[in-house]
Amino acid sequence: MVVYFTTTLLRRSYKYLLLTFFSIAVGAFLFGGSISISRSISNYFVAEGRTIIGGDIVLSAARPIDTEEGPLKNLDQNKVTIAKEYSVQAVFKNINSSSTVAASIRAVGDDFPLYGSVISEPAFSLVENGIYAEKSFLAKINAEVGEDVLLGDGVFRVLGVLKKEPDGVSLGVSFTPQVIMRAKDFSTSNIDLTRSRSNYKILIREDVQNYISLSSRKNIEAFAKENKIRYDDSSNGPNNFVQGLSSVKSFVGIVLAISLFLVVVNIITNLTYVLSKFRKTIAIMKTFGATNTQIQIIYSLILGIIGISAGALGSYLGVVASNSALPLIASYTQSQINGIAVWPTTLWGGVICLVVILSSALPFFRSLGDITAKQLLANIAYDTKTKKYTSFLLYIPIPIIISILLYLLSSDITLVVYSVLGLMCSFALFMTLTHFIIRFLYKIRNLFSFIVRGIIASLSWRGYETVIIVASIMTAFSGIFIVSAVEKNILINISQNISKKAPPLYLIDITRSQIEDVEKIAGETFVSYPIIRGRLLRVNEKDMTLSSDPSITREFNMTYRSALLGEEKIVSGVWHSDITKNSISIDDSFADDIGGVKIGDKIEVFIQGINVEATVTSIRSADRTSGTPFFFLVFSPDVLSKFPASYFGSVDVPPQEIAKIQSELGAKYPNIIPIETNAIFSTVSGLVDNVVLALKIIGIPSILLGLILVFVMTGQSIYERRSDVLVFRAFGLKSRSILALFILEIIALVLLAGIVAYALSHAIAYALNSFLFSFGTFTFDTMPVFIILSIIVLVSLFALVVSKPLTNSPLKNLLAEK
Amino acid sequence: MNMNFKTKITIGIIIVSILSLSLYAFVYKKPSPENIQNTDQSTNVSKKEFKIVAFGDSLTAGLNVPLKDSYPRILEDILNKNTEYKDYNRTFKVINMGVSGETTSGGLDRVLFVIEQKPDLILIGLGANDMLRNTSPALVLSNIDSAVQKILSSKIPIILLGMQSVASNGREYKRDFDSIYPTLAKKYNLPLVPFFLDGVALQPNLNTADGIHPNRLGYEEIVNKNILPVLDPILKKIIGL
Amino acid sequence: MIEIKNISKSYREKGEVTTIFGGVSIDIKSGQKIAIIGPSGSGKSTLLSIVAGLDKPTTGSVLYDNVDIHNMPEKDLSRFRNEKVGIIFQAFELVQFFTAYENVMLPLSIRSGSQGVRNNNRSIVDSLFLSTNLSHRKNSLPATLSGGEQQRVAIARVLASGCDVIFADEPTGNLDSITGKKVLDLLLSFVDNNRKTLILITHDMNIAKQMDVIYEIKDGQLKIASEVA
Repeated sequence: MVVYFTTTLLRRSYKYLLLTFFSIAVGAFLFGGSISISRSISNYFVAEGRTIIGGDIVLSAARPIDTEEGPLKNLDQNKVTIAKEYSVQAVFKNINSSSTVAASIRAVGDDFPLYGSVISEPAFSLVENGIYAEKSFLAKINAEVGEDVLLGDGVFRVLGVLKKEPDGVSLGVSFTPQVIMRAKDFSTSNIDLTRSRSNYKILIREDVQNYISLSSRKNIEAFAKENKIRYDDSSNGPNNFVQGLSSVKSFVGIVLAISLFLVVVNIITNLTYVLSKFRKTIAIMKTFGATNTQIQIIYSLILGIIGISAGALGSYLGVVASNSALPLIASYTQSQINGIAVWPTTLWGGVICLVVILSSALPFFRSLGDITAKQLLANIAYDTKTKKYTSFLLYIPIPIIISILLYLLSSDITLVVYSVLGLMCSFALFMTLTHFIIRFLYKIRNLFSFIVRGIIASLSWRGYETVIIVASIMTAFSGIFIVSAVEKNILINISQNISKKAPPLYLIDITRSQIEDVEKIAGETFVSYPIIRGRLLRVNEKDMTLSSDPSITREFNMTYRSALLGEEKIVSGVWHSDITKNSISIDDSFADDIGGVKIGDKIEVFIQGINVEATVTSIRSADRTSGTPFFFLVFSPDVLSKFPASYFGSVDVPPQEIAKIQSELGAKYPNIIPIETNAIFSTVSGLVDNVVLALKIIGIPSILLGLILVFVMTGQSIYERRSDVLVFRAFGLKSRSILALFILEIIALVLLAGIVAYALSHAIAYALNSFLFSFGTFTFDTMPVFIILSIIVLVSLFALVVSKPLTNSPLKNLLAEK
Repeated sequence: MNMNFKTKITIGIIIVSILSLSLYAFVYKKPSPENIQNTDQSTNVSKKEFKIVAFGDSLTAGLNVPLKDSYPRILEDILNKNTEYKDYNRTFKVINMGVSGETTSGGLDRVLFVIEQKPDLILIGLGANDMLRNTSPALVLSNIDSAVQKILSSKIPIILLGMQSVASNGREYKRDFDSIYPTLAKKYNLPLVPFFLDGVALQPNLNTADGIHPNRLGYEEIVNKNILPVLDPILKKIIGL
Repeated sequence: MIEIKNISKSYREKGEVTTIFGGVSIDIKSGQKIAIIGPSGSGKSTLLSIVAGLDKPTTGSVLYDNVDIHNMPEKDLSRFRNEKVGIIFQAFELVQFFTAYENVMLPLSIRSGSQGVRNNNRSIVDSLFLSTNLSHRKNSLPATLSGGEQQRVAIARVLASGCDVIFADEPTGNLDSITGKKVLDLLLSFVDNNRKTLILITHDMNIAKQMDVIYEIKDGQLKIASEVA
């Protein structure tokens, strides 16, 4: 019996199950495609982290670190590589002339670099007593590649020009040019390291993946803290870039969770539709003696067949597609990304989709039980209670399934837990919001026109169905909007001080008496900013020197000017002009950091022994991508102009002119430090680009699934309203008005979903920004507005097409259909 | 005018606010450079003030430590609180005019501002940043020399806080740099602390994490072991003890 | 054969209890034809659903050959519905996905059986199509059948199950008078020839008069309206 009905129903009514099949296939496609891509992106982030800091774990201190001490001695030398290096500032001398140059020497071991590669010309290959040095080194010492230079008592051969170190971005900005040599060669210089300013590093590479467990890392970190050693961890250390990357990784998980969730929602929505189509059939079968169990088995088999076949097909296509896309991604991200086996994944995809569809269908199975034979009887006053949300227990498998799938993709328990929890809470929030909004609108529906009343009544009548669908669309939108909002903020914050737009040359430590001349040498693009160092003493009555936060008690670079820079915006208050006295303008994020400063507050600072007080007249936000120097505190000229200042300048000239300016300034004013930023820019902007790309790739499923949901909902809604259309038309409502009804309803839903999602996504992005990523600025994102508008346009067109047969065909045809 | 209750309240609030603001503006005093205060004072009104300016770089400014742990504050506390200086009958003010990152060129640029504070004594501790950047010792000497001349022509006594070069700058450089302060001390007959960081440099427990700037313990060492032995006789001389 | 003992039906809505009917007791003999009439909303269909085993009474019991159908476990009740009773609906209620043939086969398909049983089923269904003059429409989907044809298929479906008791809920309600008469005649001829018990709901007195007993539900009570010996 079961087999007969399963096959017959499947054969005869597959049309209604096509949508379910399609949703699962799409979900499986995305899942199959995502596995390798998300694993690859995850690996890419970890690889980047290692390259950025130079190892899996890096320890650095101002004195030699003993590897025989503490947890380091427990590491199995067969499973890790421990590289030692140190850096020291020392002076090289030209053998033939009196030219000298102070350089930052990086004295490395044989394993250098543990990750990534050194870019140099010619290719990097350190030999005995050889060095690679930056171009500026060679310029200052007047030497060429192939020539010898002196360091203390030692003679070293310049082997090549050093262009980029793999962990260069972590080394930070150095005032002196970089030189790399072998640590064992340094001793030939006879320079006493103990009487020199040096920094020592231990770099550890895991040769066996995941050899160093989380607890071992914690032990090493504790040991480092105790001994005043800096600890950096590639997976989640204090290094800003590493933190940023690992946070992005976590974020990727959230978006994936949303996509998985949407697949489930799509399935549940489709099954509701399926149920309505089969309702009568099931009632008839029950009338003629089929038991509940038999019917549930039949539908389990039907859904199971769909699940396995759609899952297998989707997974297969997904894996094939992603495997073919991987070489492109790998070349773009310059990392090794491996594809995954096709057939095992296809099989697993089928099995997983079977589990997904069956667990998503639990409420559906329960509803099967609610169908009774008596519902077929003509005039029976059967239960017209509006459907309540079915027992929550039936929905519990869904987050469990999503968690398992997410874990398969990310292998990160913490990520899974908070992604799924966050998702469930957001969805519950959305449902609650939608429910109350619709209820409220229903109450006040009489204020609106007939069309709008109709829309509201229709939304309200369908009760929980509408709520779930709208909440799902909100979730879909949230996924996309979060990607967009966080992407925008990552862009701003990771490239905080440095960006493509920033000038290529900075000049530091220009004295007042030198400014005029420097301006002449540097040219018209030269811009200078006075810098006066000081400390924060008080904000109103609060003594800031008592704070335990070193970022508040430290010295700040303060400045004064009466012009607002192009990249700055006044958030509140009024910018001080030439005539404003005793005024200070504070950066908005800094204002928050020091406890929420408002307009009119008094700030007291300590500058060169003198206490200075000023009143906050404006709060300012700056575009940190612009490359102009960024100041937390900007005073009106009258306050600080009496203090001696040093000057910071920027020059925006083509690369070939930079060398000329540098050499002229170097000769005349050796105290001025030039800093070229190109190398750092290219690394950082490259990193940011890759991160953004990764996010976009992961965000696409969310958009697609959300779109599918909106389309399905539109189609279903219009189809279900066929009888309404009949009545409307019979009573003289114009086809155009009916069309408007449908389209406006969809627009209303999309807008409702969009607005709520926009608000929540920004709230989440802000929270991520402040607490997970610890970024300073937050910016609102306009992309979602375009997304919402585009979706509205698309869906309206779709609604137009779908409803045309209903609104345009002769009435009599509709009657016959009925 | 027919006003409802709300409007009356609003107008009332506006009037009160304007009155309060006017009152406040009347009472409020602007700060001026002459209002020099230290945040913890232990002043005795009857005692005369003795003003010392600590003129230097980050070693003076107290990079990496809170202001209260910088050497000028520690010195001030000791001079005002230790019983051995009670008989000096002075309220000592040590003004921290250190600017982190400053070279001798920068120092020369602002020496007039330092002089304008009209101190009774100046402690000069510059040159470390020049040394770290391998600036020519001749230039460093010339800059400090010019600064010293300007101070001396204002009749303000000076104590030199000597700086020495690291070994990695090369033997020649070290030889030339290390001789700067002794040369100046000899030329102008100035008291000299031979090496500001003597006994503290490169000691892990006396320095902050960067290994270059002392922590509070380090600065206490510097004040007690390096500065006070040179400062005390000069104080006595100036005060007339 | 069917004993309806003092059944009542009421439901609760927003705290208020509404009684549809109460104190209904009937004994229906095997082979009897019963009509139940009454005004709209009087509870005719509710009564039918309770007696047919589709719904439970609030109080009272319904016994088939001394077995209380509302105290049966679900499995037995399902078998009861499959083998003992059959229902013809006003709206025909054929499964839209199944052909006319498959619709008639439905009750037999629900009963699992061996290949031999299946062959037997096919001959049952074939003969039913013959007797209802619908052999040429065997493979048509319900959507392509006229109202009269659909109801004839529904009658054949009920007969295919071999049940003893047939319930008809306004069987001609959706048909015009000529077609309705034809369908009713067909039904009655089957009932008479095979000695089935028929319980029929109608508002049409002409139809009701063709039954052995007419019951009327009015104001929550069931009374005999007329009786033919």
